Amino acid sequence: MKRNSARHLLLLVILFGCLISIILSLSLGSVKIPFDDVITILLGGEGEKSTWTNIVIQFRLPKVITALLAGAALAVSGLQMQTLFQNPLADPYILGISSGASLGVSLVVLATGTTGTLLLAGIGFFGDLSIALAACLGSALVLFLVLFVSRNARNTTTMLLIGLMIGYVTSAIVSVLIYFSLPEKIHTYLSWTFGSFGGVTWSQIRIFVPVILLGLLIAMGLSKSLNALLLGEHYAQSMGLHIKHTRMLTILSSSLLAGITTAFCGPIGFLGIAVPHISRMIFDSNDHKFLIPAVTILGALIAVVSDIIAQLPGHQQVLPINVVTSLIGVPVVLWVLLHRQRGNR
Amino acid sequence: MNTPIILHTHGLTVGYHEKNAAKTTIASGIDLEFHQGTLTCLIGPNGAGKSTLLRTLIGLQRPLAGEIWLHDLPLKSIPTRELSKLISIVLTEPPETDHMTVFDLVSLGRHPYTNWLGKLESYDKEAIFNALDLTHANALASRQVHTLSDGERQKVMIARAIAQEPILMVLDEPTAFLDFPHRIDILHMLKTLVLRKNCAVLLSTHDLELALNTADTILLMDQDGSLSHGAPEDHILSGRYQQAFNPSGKFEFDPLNASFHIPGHQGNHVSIVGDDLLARHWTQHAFERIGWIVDESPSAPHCVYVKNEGNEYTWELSGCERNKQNFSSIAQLIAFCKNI
Repeated sequence: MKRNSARHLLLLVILFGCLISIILSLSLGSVKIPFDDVITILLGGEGEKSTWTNIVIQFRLPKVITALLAGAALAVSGLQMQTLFQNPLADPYILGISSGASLGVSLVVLATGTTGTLLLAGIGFFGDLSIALAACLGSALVLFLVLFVSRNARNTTTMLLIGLMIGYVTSAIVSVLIYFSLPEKIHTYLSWTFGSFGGVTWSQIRIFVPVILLGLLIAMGLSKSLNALLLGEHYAQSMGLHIKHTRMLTILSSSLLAGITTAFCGPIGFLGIAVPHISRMIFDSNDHKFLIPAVTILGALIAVVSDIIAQLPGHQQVLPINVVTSLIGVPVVLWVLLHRQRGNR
Repeated sequence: MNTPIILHTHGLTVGYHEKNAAKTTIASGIDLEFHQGTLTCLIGPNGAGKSTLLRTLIGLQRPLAGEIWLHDLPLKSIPTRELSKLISIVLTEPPETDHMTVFDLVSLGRHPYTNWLGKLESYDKEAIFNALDLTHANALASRQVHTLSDGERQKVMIARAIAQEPILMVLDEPTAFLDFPHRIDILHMLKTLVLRKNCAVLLSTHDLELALNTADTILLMDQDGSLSHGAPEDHILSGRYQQAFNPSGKFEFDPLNASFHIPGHQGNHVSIVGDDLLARHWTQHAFERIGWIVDESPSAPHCVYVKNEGNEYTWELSGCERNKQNFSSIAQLIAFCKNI
């Protein structure tokens, strides 16, 4: 019982950290806006300068919301995949969601003729939207292909391999497209692969939020089943779990979360694989009833903090989000891993 | 037997459906009964199909023909969720689990009974503590599963299976990785369980001695898939036990101890005399180990006289135009005899 209250306290601390980092993220950037102005603007007032209101409401707030949603979605999706496949290396992209999305985007960006190019180059907004749409369609297509091929798969390892194989095929097609494309088109495609929380508009967030909430809700409903899966499929089945239903529902929720995120933000690495590991370690728990809310909050926190760092506060330049998550996140995870091993001995 | 039947089969055929619609039959015409309050050991040589039979009996694999009945219900008509309240399993290898306490692990056994969020009610907790009690694992409850020894971990897996409150528990070689005291411990625990909980336990094992000494009934599976069901002693008297494990007659079977020996090659005969029954027994054991044949008659070419003087044993070897020689341990005696 004492252990549980310690866990809940830690969760509260992380939640508080989330709030602070949201304010920080709204305040920092190429233009520094004081905290009290940020809070005034958030409460519906006006900042000291009218441009500040505009910056916070039109640019920074959608970006923070996107980061929160994306971080939470990728972390939960990664947790589900790691438990479903009983593989610590699994991440949200393991079934080919990101390769499907990249195929869709590359088809739109690289392979479109003059009309497509005009569309993309002409109006930035529609360009972004068509990229998101292409990513959505691409990941959905690959996912249904994986589900179709593996609907009678004997075990989850087979599914894993099918996802991997389809990933190879799509990346081969993308390579062919890149090989025959113009440099500027390649640049557009590459900048999508770097990932970004920016560029999601308020109207897109109206789609983003309900999809993520639905995904999280299904994930929460599956937490009991995922707990049973911790002992392996045979034990799970002997405890009354319908393996195929659980598998399909988990993949559905996981791909809703990761698919929509990839569509709006590009493939964001590291969060999906690392946050579940960090959560299991710091909370010392494998109970999904607790872990799913925990990784949701921790994933959101890490995504927002990564985004703050990516903004290089005080500078005009912005780092790609994937650079930050990997360069800063990987040493942290390694440190936690090694530290924990020493503690165990 | 008058105790109620928990599971029975009628004309059951087990095996595999191949991709091309062909069937590989492993055993057929199986008629079995498992009674309440009995511990049944399934034994048989490697490859006889023990695991296939177990998988079929617990509904993980469909039978090729015949019927399985659980109480009065056909097994195939019972939904997965309901079935999990009737049968629980323990597998050979304990699953690898990090960041999980023993209590959490055992509470997973309540999965079929809890609501969609897995909330433990007071009767769930009671069942969990009951299971921990029965397996003497109370002291382990707050330990992390990955810090347990193999023996403790298997015990906890059995506690989980007990918490599931089954009428039949099926264990697939649960003692394979365990040392002798832990094996006895587990078997003893299961015997207590069947009596206290009025369920039935079926376990497969390669530990023949343990099976013969503890099982209420033994289910013996031959290399060719034929099954026989009976008391351990009946299997030995009928010769089926010997037949199952020694089909080619490669070994010598000692029906008194139900043990197999590698037959002698040297053909040396020895007779053993002496007052001390225990010392004679183990001296004979030593000679059989090196392939000698132990005769009853004192006319054998070699004779060993075991003497016990003041808690000190000496072995006197005589015969074959040789002077009598004395040895102070079986090791010395055997080392000498090996060179004859």
